[in-house]
Amino acid sequence: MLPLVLMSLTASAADPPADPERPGQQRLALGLAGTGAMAVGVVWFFYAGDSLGAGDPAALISGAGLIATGGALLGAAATRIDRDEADLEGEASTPVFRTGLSYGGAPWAREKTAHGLWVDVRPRIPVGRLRITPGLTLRQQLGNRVDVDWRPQPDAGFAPSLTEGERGIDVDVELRARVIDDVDVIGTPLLSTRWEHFQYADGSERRLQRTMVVPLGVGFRWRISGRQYFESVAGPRWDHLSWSGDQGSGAAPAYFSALYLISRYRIQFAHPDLRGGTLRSRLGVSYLHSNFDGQGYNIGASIGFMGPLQADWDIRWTPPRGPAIQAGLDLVVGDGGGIGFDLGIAPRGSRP
Amino acid sequence: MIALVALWSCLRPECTPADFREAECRVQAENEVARMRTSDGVELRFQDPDSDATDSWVAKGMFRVEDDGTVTARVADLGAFRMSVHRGPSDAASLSMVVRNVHPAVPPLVGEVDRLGLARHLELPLDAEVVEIAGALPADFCTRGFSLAAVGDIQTNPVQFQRIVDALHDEAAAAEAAGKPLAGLVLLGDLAESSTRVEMEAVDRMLRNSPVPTAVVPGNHDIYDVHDALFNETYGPGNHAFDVCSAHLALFDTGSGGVANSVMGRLPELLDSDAPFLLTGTHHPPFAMQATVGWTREDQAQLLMAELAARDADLMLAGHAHRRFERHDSPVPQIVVGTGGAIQYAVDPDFGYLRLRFDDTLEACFVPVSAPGSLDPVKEGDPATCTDLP
Repeated sequence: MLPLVLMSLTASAADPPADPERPGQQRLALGLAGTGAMAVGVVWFFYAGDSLGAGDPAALISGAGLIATGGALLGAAATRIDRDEADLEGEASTPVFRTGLSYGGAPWAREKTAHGLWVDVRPRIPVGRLRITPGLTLRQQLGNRVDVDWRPQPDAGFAPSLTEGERGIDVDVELRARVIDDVDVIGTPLLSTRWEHFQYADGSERRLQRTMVVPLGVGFRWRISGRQYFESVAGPRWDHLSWSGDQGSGAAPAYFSALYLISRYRIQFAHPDLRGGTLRSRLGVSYLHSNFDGQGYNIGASIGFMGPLQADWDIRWTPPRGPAIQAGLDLVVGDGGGIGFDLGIAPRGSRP
Repeated sequence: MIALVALWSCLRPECTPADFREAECRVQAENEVARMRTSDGVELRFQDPDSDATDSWVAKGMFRVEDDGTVTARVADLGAFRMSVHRGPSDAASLSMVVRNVHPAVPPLVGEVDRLGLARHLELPLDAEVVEIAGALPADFCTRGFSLAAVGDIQTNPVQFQRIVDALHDEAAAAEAAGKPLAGLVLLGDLAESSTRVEMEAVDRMLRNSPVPTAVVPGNHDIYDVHDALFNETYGPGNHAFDVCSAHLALFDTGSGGVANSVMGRLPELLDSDAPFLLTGTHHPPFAMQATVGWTREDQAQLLMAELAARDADLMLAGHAHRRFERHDSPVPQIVVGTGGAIQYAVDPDFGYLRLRFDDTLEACFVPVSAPGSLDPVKEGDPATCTDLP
């Protein structure tokens, strides 16, 4: 992976594609399509979801539609700030190397939360019309989370009830190729594994390995303008569990799980140059249809159906020489969500 | 700003202020309602029937004072139960109370003066500092096996649920005739549509017509009142485990899409038992598959399944989806039976309950209870499908 990273950092950017024409109309089309998808999803959900077990595709379609509609509105609002929608050189994109911290939240009295550290490596390999981006993310929870027994009985004593540690790895490969002027086709097989360790109130322990595989993630990226795009990738998901601990070890056969989807809308902004280098930022909103990490968006009685909503903002400075530096803020809206911060480097002029 | 929020939080115990949409706050509520002081100063506590301790209490029921001043105790578990009555500084010589949700086969309780359905009226002499009330199914109740019924998701059609409760009388008679008496009903959540007290109490009233007691868990439609733990105030605990005959049932409050972390920390305590059969009851199915009827805390669902698989558990019972289906490719077999009356838009309603019959093996049969005017009515009491669980 390291040679690929070094190659990526020294590579020059490919020729930029021509900017999409009539971005306003493209946004309108995306917004209408998104609204239609939301309507279909909601109707499907309420008229077939519970009884026919079709809630999963319904929630997935609704989530993708929400981002398409919300992104189109956000994109239109962004043009009120800066009417120029031409492609930007040195725009913010996912860095080749990135490390970040996710805030574990403030603990309640007597409890401990744990923040998360992650490292992400994502070199880019152009092969003709195809761009291959393998990704590797290593995750480490910094210390153990401790939850106490909140029962009011004096003998419960607010003693530690559950102590939990976690580390994980995500591997994916994005394969992207332009098929028509403003649309890329994407294939993204991915695998995520979490190794978790639990100590229960009685002192017994459990180790759990949870794996999620999405081998057939396919989707598209729709370039709305030189600075905005909508992207959606979905696929079937399989899960695997294995465990060990005081009650014995074992594994379950892999099973077909909920569908997987990530939909996002991203907008680039230009800022005045800084110290002779370009300064760009990127705002993104996304919907992740997966509760694999225990995060989901619940509202009212609608509990367990949706994955988390996410927002991210990245700012990239490309100095006169050398690779670009990028910092980001991440927000996950949903149960178990929170904020995060990351810092990375990227080759000069790399395209998102 | 973040530092201020962090400081505000880490100085406070969880659930101050309370938000009963949170699973952890309902753990506190279910424990608080398992103990009560009467206006006379007499203290009542639910206790573990397998222990003789009385110095604390456990969330195995709910006490309250009714509008007419009657003290009532609702037993949450099926099978055995125990309460302790502490006279304390009171000079009361006796306590008049009603113990609800008790199986008719349970022998008369101490101080019992009357029995009406599942309710026992007690005039309890307070002739000691601590007086205990204990009940259990008779030793010969399940020597040839026993039965349970299970169903979830009433929500928008409590009238249909009333039909199911009526059908349980036939089920109880048939089970008795088969030598496998009906020990209770497991109600798998979503009793209400809008989380209101009126809905909760309406279902509670219907359950008083049942021939057998009910063990209940809350669903996502039962828990979204911020300021009142309505489910716990009506039914007691959402997290409780108990033995009934040869089965150990562990019930979990998954109404918020996950289980309170403190309860997850007690999984070994709640799951371990010498009983030959181990079953769980949750509203959200731990094995979610493609239906998005799963837990927000998918990680917790997978941990629960691993703990169950490690113990060779027999069955996970769940509701949430308004239909019935079985999965045998899950780490532990799972049956979803959300057929208690909640709306089933796209199909001729497939209402009914699950009959579980235990002897040396476990057989699960779905028993339809057709809606009035159903296009495909069934003869009541005839199972539509049966599965032998290994």
